[in-house]
Amino acid sequence: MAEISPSLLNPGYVWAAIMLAALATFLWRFLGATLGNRIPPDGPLMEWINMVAYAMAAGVMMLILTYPTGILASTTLEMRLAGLLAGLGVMVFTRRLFFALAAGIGVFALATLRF
Amino acid sequence: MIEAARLPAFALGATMVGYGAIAREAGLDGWMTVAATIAVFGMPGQVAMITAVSVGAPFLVIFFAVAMANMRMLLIVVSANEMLQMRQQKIPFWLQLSLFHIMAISTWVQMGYVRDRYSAPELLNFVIGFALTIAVFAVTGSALGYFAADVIPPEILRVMIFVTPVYLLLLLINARQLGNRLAVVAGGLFCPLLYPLFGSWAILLAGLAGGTAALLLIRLWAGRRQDG
Repeated sequence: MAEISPSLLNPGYVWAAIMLAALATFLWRFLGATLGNRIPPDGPLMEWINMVAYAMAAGVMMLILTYPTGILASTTLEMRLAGLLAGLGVMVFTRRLFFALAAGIGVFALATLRF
Repeated sequence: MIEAARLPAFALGATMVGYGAIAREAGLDGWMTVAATIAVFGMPGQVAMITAVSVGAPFLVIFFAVAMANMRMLLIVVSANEMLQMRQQKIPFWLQLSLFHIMAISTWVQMGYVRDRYSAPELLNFVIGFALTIAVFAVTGSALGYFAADVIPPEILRVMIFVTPVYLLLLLINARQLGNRLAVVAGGLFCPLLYPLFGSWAILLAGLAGGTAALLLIRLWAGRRQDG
């Protein structure tokens, strides 16, 4: 693979960075598994952790939509929000995930192709 | 059960195509791109790592940038541990860790969405099948993004990448408990508002503020109902 696209970066440096990134992520998972075995499942602490997890996951996804990196940044905020709102709207009225997702993606696809 | 993973798997695969393209732009080779997906398995952390590497950041900075970006893993693992009743099922610790390693946000959100349909042991089987499928698509997507990003028209690719955040937000807003739904709305609104001020700290802040606000609202509401 090296012949196809020679890396401009020092390979040793990048591999060490990958190992560090793996360690940094593994530590959270390890800590989570250790704590998870100790926190009472029906207590208020678990309730709070769940809500923070839901809020954080929603925050990350909204961040991808409002401040995208990479190719999604070539679309406008209006296009992305129109897609999201279409999906949420259909979800509220039909309670059907499939239709909601189809509407959201459809509106976004049309918006990006038309403008 | 693997059937259920089709749409989310393709969506995540598309997200990882985006990651593969970013990795290539930054100057990683194909092996590095795929190895990072396998070893880290948390896209925001991988992007943080690549960004740091592309500017030649020192190792300490790389470590903390990735740790920050992937901090949500802590909460997701604690929450997943509870949903799967790992302790009651007496799952060996190394097996828990292996499953948690390939647990993406997608898997955790999906698990919360379907948990009522299955008993804990069935849910565990579902999650194993789901997570493995997601993992295969994530690795394939990374490689595809690295080698074929130029081949896929950008008009198609950006629609593909749009699927994951919208799909997950739709699943999240359908959470069974009212408190979790409130947390989704609060976190989803807070995060973009806080981002211009706090950068990537906004995710942590929005999570803490949104989760705490939701819990307080639920408690207030429950208290009112008891009084009345």
